Amino acid sequence: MTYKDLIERVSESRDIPKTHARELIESIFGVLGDELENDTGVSIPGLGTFKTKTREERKVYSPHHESYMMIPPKRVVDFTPSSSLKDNLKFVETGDE
Amino acid sequence: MSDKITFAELVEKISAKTDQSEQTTNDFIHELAEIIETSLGTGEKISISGFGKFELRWVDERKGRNPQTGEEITIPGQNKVVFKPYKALRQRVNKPFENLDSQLIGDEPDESISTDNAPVLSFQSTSIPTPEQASSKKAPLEENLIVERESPVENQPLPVRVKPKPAKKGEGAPVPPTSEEEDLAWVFEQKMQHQDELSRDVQSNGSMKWSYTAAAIVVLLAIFLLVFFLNNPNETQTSETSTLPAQPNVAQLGENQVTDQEVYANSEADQAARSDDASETTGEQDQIAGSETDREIAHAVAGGESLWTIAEDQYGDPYLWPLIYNANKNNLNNPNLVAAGNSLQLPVLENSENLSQEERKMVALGYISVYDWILENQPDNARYYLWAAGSFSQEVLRDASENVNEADLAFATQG
Repeated sequence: MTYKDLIERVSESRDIPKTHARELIESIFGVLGDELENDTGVSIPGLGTFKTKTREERKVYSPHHESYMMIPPKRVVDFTPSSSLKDNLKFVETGDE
Repeated sequence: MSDKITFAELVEKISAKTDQSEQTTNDFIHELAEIIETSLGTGEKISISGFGKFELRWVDERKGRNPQTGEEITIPGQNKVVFKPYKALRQRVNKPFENLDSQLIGDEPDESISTDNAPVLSFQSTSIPTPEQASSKKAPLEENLIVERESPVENQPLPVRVKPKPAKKGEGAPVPPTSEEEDLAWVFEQKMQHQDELSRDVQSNGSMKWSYTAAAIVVLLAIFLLVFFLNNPNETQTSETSTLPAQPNVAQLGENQVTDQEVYANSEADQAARSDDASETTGEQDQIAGSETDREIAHAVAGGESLWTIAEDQYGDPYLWPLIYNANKNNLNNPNLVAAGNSLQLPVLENSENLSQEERKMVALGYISVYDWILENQPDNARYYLWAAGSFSQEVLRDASENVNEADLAFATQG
């Protein structure tokens, strides 16, 4: 489902104009992004928890450079689905598999 | 460890931004979550622009162990919800570390265990020449070239002390090479075979001897200069400038990359140290050159970079490298070689994980350009690039079909 489809579906189910739905979705994920950028975790009921995790720097061998490399630390987004979402979808037949 | 805000706080912030009541916002988010859940349930992926993508992934049945009892159990196959942040979000979140680059740190003490295998592996896997392997093969050589270009300048401030070292080693190599040195020279020779677009004429045994002669000339020149310096100890200033014209002369004598590489093959430790320096300084250049225009970003090439790695850094997808090649076709002779310090124009993509029709065409055109180049230089591999062009845009492949080799086209359209 593309971003457009999502907006369409939300606007239908809430019975609001698409522009409005887009605005709302944008601001929700905008705020979420701001919080994550400030290293703040956010839980959304029914969906899951977004937080950040810092990966330590580490040393790897790079066959490309034929030398060892230092990989710098990195902060990444960590998403944990809420238990209701996880359990509801656990054994759903998606038709993909 | 990150702080957390409660859902109520989140709702408050959002409703302040949208001028909605908190109740409406709350309901809206719940409904959004429900819609996401239902769509995931039907196997759909949900893409949220500028944020990320949710999808359901099937995890097969696997063996596990109860951590408390140690009892072995079978974990049944199940769906897992995964969230993949898009590049924009990844960059925002990684802001505190965005200026850090990975650095080559040279050989490690425990290298003997792993190094022996790794290069061998990279050479063995030549059977499927994907763009990845093509560029990974060439990258080491590229670095050597860069080091080689920088080195004369680095040596100059200390002509008396530093110069003799590489020069004498270079002298040692041609005459009675010890087995180790011979191996190194052989490795470079091998790489040259892959790389002979640079020096058109393939290096045969005869021209090997010629390159030794050229090496000897370099050495003689270095010794001559040395003597010159020693005779005029007070005039180091002028002697520095006199070295400069001497270098191009050497180049004009007809010696090519091989000679210098043999010389430097023997001072690998120096190389590692220098490429470290190079990656540090060029990292800074990157930041300076990061100024954005509307459709393209300027990018200063750092030591050790290839179009492949630049595409990976810029778009998160190394396979988009022909896009960069196409935008800089006029400045690049060889897509496998980009010189450090060059400035490239990188086309801007809206969302590199979800290319628009237009963007796919651009990438496909890039692959066609690469195909044209490869066809001239390594005709055996050209068809893979044509196939890749077709995988991005069939339309572009059709448009180009008049100008391509028939067998290649058949290969590109069969799959």
